[in-house]
Amino acid sequence: MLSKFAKYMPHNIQENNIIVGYGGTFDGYDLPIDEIRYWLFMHLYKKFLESKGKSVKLVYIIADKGVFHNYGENKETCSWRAKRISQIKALNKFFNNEFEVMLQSEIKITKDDIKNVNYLTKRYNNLLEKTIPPSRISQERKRKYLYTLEELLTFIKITNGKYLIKVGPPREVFYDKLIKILKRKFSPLYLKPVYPVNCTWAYYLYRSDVREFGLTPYKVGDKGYLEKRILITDDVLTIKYKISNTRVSKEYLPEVLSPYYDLVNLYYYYKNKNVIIDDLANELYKISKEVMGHK
Amino acid sequence: MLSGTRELSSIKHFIPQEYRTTGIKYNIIKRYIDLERFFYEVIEEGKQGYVVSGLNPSGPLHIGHYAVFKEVYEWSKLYDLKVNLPLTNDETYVVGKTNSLHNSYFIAKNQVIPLLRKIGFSDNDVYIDTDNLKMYQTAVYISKYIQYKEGRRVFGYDVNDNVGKMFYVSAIQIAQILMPQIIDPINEILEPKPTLIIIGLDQHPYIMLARDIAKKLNLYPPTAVYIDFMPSLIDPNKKMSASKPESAIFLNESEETIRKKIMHGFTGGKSKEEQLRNGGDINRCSVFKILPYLGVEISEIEKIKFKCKSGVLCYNCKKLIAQIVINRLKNQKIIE
Repeated sequence: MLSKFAKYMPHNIQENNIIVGYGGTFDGYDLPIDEIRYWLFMHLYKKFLESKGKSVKLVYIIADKGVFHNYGENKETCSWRAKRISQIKALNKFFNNEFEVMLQSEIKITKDDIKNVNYLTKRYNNLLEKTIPPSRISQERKRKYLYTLEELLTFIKITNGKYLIKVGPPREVFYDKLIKILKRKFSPLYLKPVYPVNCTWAYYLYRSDVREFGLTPYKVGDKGYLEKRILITDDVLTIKYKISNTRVSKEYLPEVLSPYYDLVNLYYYYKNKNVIIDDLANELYKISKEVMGHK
Repeated sequence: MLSGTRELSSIKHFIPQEYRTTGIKYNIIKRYIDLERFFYEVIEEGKQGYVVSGLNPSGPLHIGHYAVFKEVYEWSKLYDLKVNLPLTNDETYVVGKTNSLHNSYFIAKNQVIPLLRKIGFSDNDVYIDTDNLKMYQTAVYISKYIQYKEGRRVFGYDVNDNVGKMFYVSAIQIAQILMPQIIDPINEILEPKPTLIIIGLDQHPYIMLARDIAKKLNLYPPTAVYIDFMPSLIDPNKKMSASKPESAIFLNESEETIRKKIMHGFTGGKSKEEQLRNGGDINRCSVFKILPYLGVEISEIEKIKFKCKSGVLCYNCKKLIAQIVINRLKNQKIIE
C-alpha cells in the first residue's frame, strides 16, 4: 500500500530533511471525524517518505492566534482552545506522539517579519482576498490582511529553511500560492475535500463553493453545520442518522461519501487489517472511539 | 433578452428524478434565473415557497394553456408551494384584446376557473385581477418604485398607449409577481418568501424589473423558469395560438374535431415514398412534438419515434397520437 503514496511525492525533491505540516483553527465544537483522515494520511505518508530515505518531521499547528484575531482572546475562546488542545493530544497519543503539536501563538512573528512580506499586499492583493471568507473581507482590508500574513509566516517560520510539504484541504490553495511566492522549498498536498452529510441535493446545487473546495476538516464552522458533520463524539446512531439522511442526486453521492471510505481504508491499513466496508457508520464510530479513546 | 438566465441542462443532473416536473423531464423548461437559490430555500431550509403564473383571459382555452397550468400544479405539489394564479382580465381590456371588462371577466370566471379546478387547483389559488383589492393596493404601493424611464426602457411605451396599459405592464404585473412577499401593502408589512414564476421567455424583462424592485424593498428577488409553449399543429416552429384555430386544440372541442385537427397536423412534409425509404423527420413533426407537453411516458414517446424512423406512415402515427391526446384529456376530465 505504501507504494500508492508515490503519486504524492513532489517532483525533483533533493532535500533529505522534510517537514510535513498541517494545521487548523478551531471553534467551540468537537473535532469533525474528517480530521482523523488527515492524521492517518500524514502518518502513512511519513512512512512512505522514510522508505525513500528521507528524514521526516510531522508538525501540527493549532492556529489559536487566528481564532483570537477573529473572535478576541477571551474566556470563551480560551476554553475553546483548551478543549481543542485536549482533543489534539488524544489524537496524537494514538499516533505515539509522532506529531510535534505547536500553538501558533508560541511561534514568534515580529513586526519586521510582517514588514518583509508586506509587499504581498500590493502585488498579490487578489490572492490575499481569496484566502478570506466574504464576510470578513472588509475587516481584513482594514487590517491590511494581517490574519493571512501571520498564517503564511507561521509555516515559513517553523520550517527554518527546510523543505515543507503542507497537507491541507483544497480550499487552502490560495494560501499555498502565496507561500510558494515566499518559499521556494515548498509543495502543497491536498486531500479529497470534506463534504457535509445530512444535506439535501439542493444544498449541493446552491453551494458551488462547497462543491469545488469542500469544508474545513478541522472545525464545524457554525452551528448550522453541527447536523451536517460527523463529529468524533457522535454515537453510532447519530452517525447512521447523518449518513442515511444524505440526499444528494445519485451522481454526487459517491463523491460526498468517498472521503469517509478513504478514512476507513486508511485506518485499516494502519491497523494492518482487512475489512469489507458494509456499514460505514459502524466503522466510523469504531474509528473515532478507538482513536480518540473518549467513550 | 437572455441576460441573467442560464440553461437548465447545466444543473439538471442535480435534480433527482422524483423532483423533476414534466417541464424539467422533457426539457420544456430550457432556461431559468436563480433557481439554485429557490431550491436551497425551499428544500434545504424548508421555507414556504410560492409559485406564480397566470393567464390573460382573452379567448377560448387550448391544450397549450392546459399544459402550462399542469406544470404549475406539478411544481406546487412536488415542492409544496402555495399558488398564486392571477387571471388578468384588466390586461385583456387595457391592451385592447376585448371591448369590455365584462367579456374577459366572463371568460375568466366561466372557462378558466373551471379548467383550473379540474387540474386540481383550489379557488384560493386563483384570483381575477379586478376582484382583488390587495393586488391593486400592492400595485399602487410598488408603483412609486418604478420610474417612467425604466418602464419605457423595459416595455417600450408608445405615445399612443393608454395610461391603463402603462400602469398594467409595469405596476400591476410586478405586483402580481411580488405579492406573496407583500403581506400588507397599506401598512407596508413585507416578508421575504421564495417565489417561483413560471412564464414564457418573452416575459423575462418583467422578471428583471421585478427582481430590481424586490432588491429595493429587501425582498427575495423572484426566481423564474422559462417554459416553451406548446407548438402549433401546423408549424412546429410557432406556438399554438387561439387566434389561429387550426393551430390549436381547444378544450371545448369534441373528440371528433380534435381527431380531425390532429389528422390535419403538419408532420414534416416528406413524400410517401421518401418516408417509406428513409423514415420520417420527428424534429419537424408538430403532432409528435405535443406529446411531451402532455407528460406522455418516455417509453411511449420512444416507441412512436422508433416507428416514425422505421418508415411507418404519418397517417397511422397521427391516429395513434390523436387517441393518446384524447385519452389524456378525458382521464383528466378536461374534455367530455
